[in-house]
Amino acid sequence: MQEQERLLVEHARTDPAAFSTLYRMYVDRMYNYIYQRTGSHADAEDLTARTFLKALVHLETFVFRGVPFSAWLYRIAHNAVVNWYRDQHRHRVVSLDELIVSTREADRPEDWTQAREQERALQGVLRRLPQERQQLLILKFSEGLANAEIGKIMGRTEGAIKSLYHRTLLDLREQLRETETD
Amino acid sequence: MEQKDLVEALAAHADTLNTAGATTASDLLTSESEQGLKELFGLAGRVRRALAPVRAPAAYRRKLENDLTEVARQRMRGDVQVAQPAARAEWIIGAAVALVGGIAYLLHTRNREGHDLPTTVRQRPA
Repeated sequence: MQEQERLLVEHARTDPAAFSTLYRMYVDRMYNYIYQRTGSHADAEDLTARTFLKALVHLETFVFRGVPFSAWLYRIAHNAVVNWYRDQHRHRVVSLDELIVSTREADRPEDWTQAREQERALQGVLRRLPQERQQLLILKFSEGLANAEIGKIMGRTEGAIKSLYHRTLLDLREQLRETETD
Repeated sequence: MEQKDLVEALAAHADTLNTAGATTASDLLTSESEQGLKELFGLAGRVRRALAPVRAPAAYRRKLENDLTEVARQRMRGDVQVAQPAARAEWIIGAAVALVGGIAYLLHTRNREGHDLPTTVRQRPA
């Protein structure tokens, strides 16, 4: 599988059709990763496009050294999100998706259940976690990756990923308790 | 429960959530004294539901694919030059700074030599 991917990446340097194949293999995963990090479909579309354009431009620099192509793509996407967070911090924009959700809730006040409030609290806490912890939880639960794969993407050992997951859950529980008592 | 066992139990639970679902995952609990762990298992399940995967809209996927393919074709034909202006500019600025620094150092050294020399010469007769 990795050998096939290596050949595909080599072809993609000179063959647009091969690049399209790579794109189709990974577009949903990158889009999902970015959406989970930003919470906005509009930003996910923008940053996914930037991720693949950057991959196309820098494909020549990618060298197989035991790290899968997907790990390289995730790193590009991660950097795009980091830059996005930096710009968001500067401009403080409310995403359209958040507005749509609030409008729907205002339309149907009966949907303001405790479960929905808890879900919103959890999502708020998840977005406030340090970037590497958000990245870990998304790769584990939204992408369904194994610890070894996550380790390759994040440049850590499998054991370090397990420990980080443990600390992340403890921290998350603590923050949720604080949110719920407020 | 030892810290190492806790880390392993949580990792195993997460793997089980991803493959079998929450019901089987809760079977990992063997004792009632492990309520803390049970709470963390429950939290992991909530996180997994909150991060339910989404797919890119089909129209968006198609359009981006077409755009990228066109850029790739243009690059291969040489119609689009993807230059690295930032990196090049940094290199030129770096070289210029180094050059100016070198000249300044030379001038400084020569000036100091110029000052030192008369002093030394003046001191010698004394």
